[in-house]
Amino acid sequence: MAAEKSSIKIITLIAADGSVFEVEPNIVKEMKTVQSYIDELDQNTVSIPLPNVFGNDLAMIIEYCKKHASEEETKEAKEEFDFEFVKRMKSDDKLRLLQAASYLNMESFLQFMAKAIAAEIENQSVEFVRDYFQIESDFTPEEEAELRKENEWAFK
Amino acid sequence: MQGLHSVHMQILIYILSFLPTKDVVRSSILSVKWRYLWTHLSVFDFLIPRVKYGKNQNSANCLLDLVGRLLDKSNCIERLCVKIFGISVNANQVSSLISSIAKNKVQHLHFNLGDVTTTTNCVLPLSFLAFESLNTLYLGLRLTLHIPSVICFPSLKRLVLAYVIFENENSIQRLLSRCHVLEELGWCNCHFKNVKQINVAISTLRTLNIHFDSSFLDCDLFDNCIVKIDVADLLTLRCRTNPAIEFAMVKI
Repeated sequence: MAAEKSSIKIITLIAADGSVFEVEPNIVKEMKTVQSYIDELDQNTVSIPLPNVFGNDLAMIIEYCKKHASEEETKEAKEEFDFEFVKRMKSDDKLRLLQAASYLNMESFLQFMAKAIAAEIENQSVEFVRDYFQIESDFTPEEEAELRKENEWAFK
Repeated sequence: MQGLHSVHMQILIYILSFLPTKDVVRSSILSVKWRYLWTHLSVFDFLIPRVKYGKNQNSANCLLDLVGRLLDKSNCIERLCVKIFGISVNANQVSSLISSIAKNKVQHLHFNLGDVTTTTNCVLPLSFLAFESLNTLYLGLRLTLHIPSVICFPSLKRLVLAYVIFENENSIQRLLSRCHVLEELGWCNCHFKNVKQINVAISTLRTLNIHFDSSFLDCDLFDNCIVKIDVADLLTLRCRTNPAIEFAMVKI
């Protein structure tokens, strides 16, 4: 709503590595963090530094936002896009994008990434999930055995 | 920005919220940081399916212990579902679980432990807090339910009782009189001992489902019992009984 009232035509986003992206206001609508900046301003252009998001990730997020903000695209085309979008990502990419989504306060993109990650670790072994999230276990073997016993129901 | 070290706990909990309860519980052994992360979720679905071979009494006890620990730890459970088929469980354990649900503002509670064979009494706890938020309650327990006189379910919209045993008219009547906004009521193979008449007079009720099959339980469930229904706006009445029971409709 506020974006329409504002006179801003072009928004320049500056990623952590210095790469610059020029986008229209409707593309950043979902980025509440960015939105809160521009709501305050009354000028034609604005540039916003995003020190927690890398250029590659920001490019992907903008690509996603463009697709989803488009009124010409059908629902099916958007779903197809989402499917391909996740398919070409590695687990690291997903985790980075998830963090970026959280930083940018993008509700539906955050949910989209969280669901994609959940789908990958669903029904997988503890070892797989540790590897996925790069977790080093800091339990002693005895503690781990005890926990496995206590939560036996989940390991069958 | 490296690895997952900087990922906020809240996001990890969010990821867990899209996983089945089994995966969620397994996350407790990933590392010390993850150990109790899963207890911050609000929806849980615990199930031990019926198996043909290898019934394990211990697995049921173990699961109920797990649910008990969760209830001790958490205060944000909104929806809790525990279903154990084919294994009898300890009635005291079940009773203590129902008590410890008290501090959680559970909205949806589903206990299906229909294979409990003991006849130990089970008293719904007196705590008001526990049931203030309750919207849906499914109790599938072969236990005698005692309803304390101060119990109240101010938000309960849907109540289904299966296999539950009521000692007398008073206990069932007391339960019904404490559900002021109930919209759906179901009885499935409940055992009403010494009950001659049940009055269903809840003005908000829209659906009543009654299912009795005396061949399922080897006793006369509904010997000479009359169900008196005094609900002006009832929309659906489904009844499958064997033997037949008598209904008396008032003001329909």
